[in-house]
Amino acid sequence: MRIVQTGSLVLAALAALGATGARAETRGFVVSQFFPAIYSEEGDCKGGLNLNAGDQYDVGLVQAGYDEKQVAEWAAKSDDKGSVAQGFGDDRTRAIRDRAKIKGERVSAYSNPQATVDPNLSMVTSKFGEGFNLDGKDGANAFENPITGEKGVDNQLARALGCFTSFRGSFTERPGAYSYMWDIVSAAMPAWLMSVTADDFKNGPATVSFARAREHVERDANNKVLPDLTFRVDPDPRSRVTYAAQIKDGVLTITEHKPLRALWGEQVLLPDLRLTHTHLRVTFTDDGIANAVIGGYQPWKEALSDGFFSAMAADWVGLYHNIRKAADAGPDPKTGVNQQISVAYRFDAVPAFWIDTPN
Amino acid sequence: MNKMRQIGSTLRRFALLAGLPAFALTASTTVAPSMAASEAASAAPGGVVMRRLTPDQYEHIITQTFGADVSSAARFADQTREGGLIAISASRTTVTPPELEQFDGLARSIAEKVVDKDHRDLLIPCKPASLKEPDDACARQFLTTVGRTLYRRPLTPAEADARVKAAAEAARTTGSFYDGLAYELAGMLVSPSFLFRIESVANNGKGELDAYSKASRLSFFLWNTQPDEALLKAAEKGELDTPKGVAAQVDRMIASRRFETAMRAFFSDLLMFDEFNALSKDAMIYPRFTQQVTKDAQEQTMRTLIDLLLTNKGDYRDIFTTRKTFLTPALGSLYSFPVPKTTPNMEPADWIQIEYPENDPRSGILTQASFVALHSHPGRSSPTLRGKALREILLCQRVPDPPGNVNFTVVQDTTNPQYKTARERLNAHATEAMCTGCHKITDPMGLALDVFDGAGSYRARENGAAIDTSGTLDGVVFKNATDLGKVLHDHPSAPKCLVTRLTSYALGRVPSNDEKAWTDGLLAGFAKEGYRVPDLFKHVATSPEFFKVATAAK
Repeated sequence: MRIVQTGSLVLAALAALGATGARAETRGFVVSQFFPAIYSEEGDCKGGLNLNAGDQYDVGLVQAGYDEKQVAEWAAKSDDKGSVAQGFGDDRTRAIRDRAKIKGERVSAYSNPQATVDPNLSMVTSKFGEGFNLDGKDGANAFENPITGEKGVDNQLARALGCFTSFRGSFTERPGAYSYMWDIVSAAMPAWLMSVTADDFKNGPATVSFARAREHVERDANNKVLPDLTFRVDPDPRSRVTYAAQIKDGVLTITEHKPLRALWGEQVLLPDLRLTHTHLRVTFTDDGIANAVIGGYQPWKEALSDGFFSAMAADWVGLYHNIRKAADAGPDPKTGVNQQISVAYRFDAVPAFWIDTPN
Repeated sequence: MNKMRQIGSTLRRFALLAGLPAFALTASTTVAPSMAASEAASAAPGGVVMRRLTPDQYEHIITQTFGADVSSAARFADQTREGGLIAISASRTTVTPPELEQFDGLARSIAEKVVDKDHRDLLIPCKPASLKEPDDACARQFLTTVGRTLYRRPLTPAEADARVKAAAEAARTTGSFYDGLAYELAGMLVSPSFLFRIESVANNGKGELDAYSKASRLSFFLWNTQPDEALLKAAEKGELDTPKGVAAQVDRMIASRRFETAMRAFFSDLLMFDEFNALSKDAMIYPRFTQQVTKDAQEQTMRTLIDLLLTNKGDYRDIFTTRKTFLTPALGSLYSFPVPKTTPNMEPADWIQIEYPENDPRSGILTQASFVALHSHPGRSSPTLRGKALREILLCQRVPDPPGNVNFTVVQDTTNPQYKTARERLNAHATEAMCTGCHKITDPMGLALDVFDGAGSYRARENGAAIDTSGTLDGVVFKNATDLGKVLHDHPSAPKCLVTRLTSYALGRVPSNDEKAWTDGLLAGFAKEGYRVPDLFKHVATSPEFFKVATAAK
């Protein structure tokens, strides 16, 4: 265990992670909220907001070749049009599952989404969005950050998701379904830790480290993540990474953009966050909370997988096609089809103690 | 069976077995008169005290007699505090009809488990000739054996005969030997002889307890539970009538691990931990004060005390200054202190022993949540409550209650920009003449602790203003909470108060003026031996005064 003294309190933190000088202070954090950075505003979906899952299923069933009358009959009989979570016990839910076709045979859309009809659901058409300029260009699909004014912001994931009601959010509101699922799974998945080391948290060089904890977060009396808990760091080197950073006027940005991998281990929602061209922007509130946006290019299939459970309130087949089409980087050398999508996620992190643990 | 008839039956049984005319109720009675133990005691010769079992004692006895899987967690109604202790008010505690109903339900539940198929072979030392009929010999064997344990004395022949007869009648009525036995066992468990520690005077003219009462007094004082077989045997053989015999038992009991239970019970009573049952904090203001913290805060202080005073045989006065304590992750969050879930050797651990660094604002039990949070309001700290608690609990000084017509508006409004800190608000409040006197004796110490908010988290500022923690205690200046701990460490009233509280706890009453020489002697010995609390327990328990019964409090 390595201990770094800070002020009147003892801070246990990862040592040797690039403390920038003799006076360096290390602040430990645990991520308390994490969700796609989607900046929604009225009129940002020219094709209109997408239908909720239950209604979209009916449209999708017809598109998949089911008889329109039959679909209407199923819908009339269905107790719950909104979800397939109840299983596939009746004809309608089986049909929803089997919207894909391979060689004329109906197969599961969830196992074979590539064999489904693209419902061409709406994507965000707005000019404004949150994230980072990952390629240094201001292309046709790029956003403009409404706060910083930065142009060329690459966040195609926001375009793909932003017209689904359950993914809509703002700078002050988290997307409903995704956030709900995060709150649930974070009670059991290993916590994600961040530490920032700097001489001066207003201006100057800094380093930022990420790691996975051995423990999950705990909740306070208001069901918010409990600050100042102590987390043991998982020694698995795959989930540990450190970036050089710079703080200017209290805003931290990383100055190197190597890949990030977060082995969260949550098999349903967030198995593994992998980014290339990683960008990070962090601000610190007076009460010690870190508000951050992290972005980069993510394998688009993983972005889809990460959002799977939250898609309970959206048609997953529609999500699949939207994200696939929005992929904007990492072309396959053979096919030229993009394998990665530009993304930005927002997260908040509350103060926490890190304790390094041996393997 | 109709519930009311059950209760009426129990009450009748209770009254008859207690031999108390006040309890001679009719079957139709649904509201029983409450019985004050002290009223019953006053009828007994020698003015002995008669104390009701505490919930912990009840649970310990059932667990030790029948096993943990038979025991049920007992929660009794809140008890009042007298002379700073529930142990004193326990001798004046009443059994109200709702409580009796609770006792009755608990007793029936325990009795049913004892005779059920899973337990009877283990707990009942004989088998009846027939499962469906009475068996007086077997019933007598069980009831007299268990009765000796539960009553902390042998049953009298009349009691034993009555129990066996009643068990037989119940067996005939129910058609089951074991149901009959359970009926009678439940009766024993609501008997005053079980629920109350009824002491008897020896017929030797010395004005002291009889041998079995001595055994009970020793056992509840040093173990917080019933006497074990060795102690009952010592009583039976007359060994407790000699100082040597008592000393041998006291040494044995203090060396036992059960002694920690007694120390915990005493300090829990002294520090008013029963009030945690009613403690609530505003979650919007103190979100870190979770249910887990409520539990851990008490245990933190207990572990600190046991480690210092018992494990390390430390100086009592160091409870005000020690930097060593134990924390859980939940407390670590409250205190902003790193607490891993493993020991330094990476062994999993719920509690980690830590030592605050020298520059940390925390030292001593007064800076722990069990004190600062308990003696605060739901949404704000209270220097006055803390100062009052400190004076009353730890220095045995009486602080008058506030008069009824005080305007607290200024103190309660923590958002008034004119008075940013508690000190400023109290200063404004103290301009009212009727308030000044009391606040002078409570607030200075409480203000030293105001760097700990109403939940126990550290803060250097309130509403942006620095918190001034300086003050004086009985003429001695301190700068902050750590300094205050040092002043208390050297305050002559602190050890004196502990002696007063411990002797009161032991006797069930405040020692009288006639017993001043005894308590003075204990205090002198306490000081001479380095303020070792286990030694103080020993000296109290081996004192002749511990068994005297004729002296009434004055």
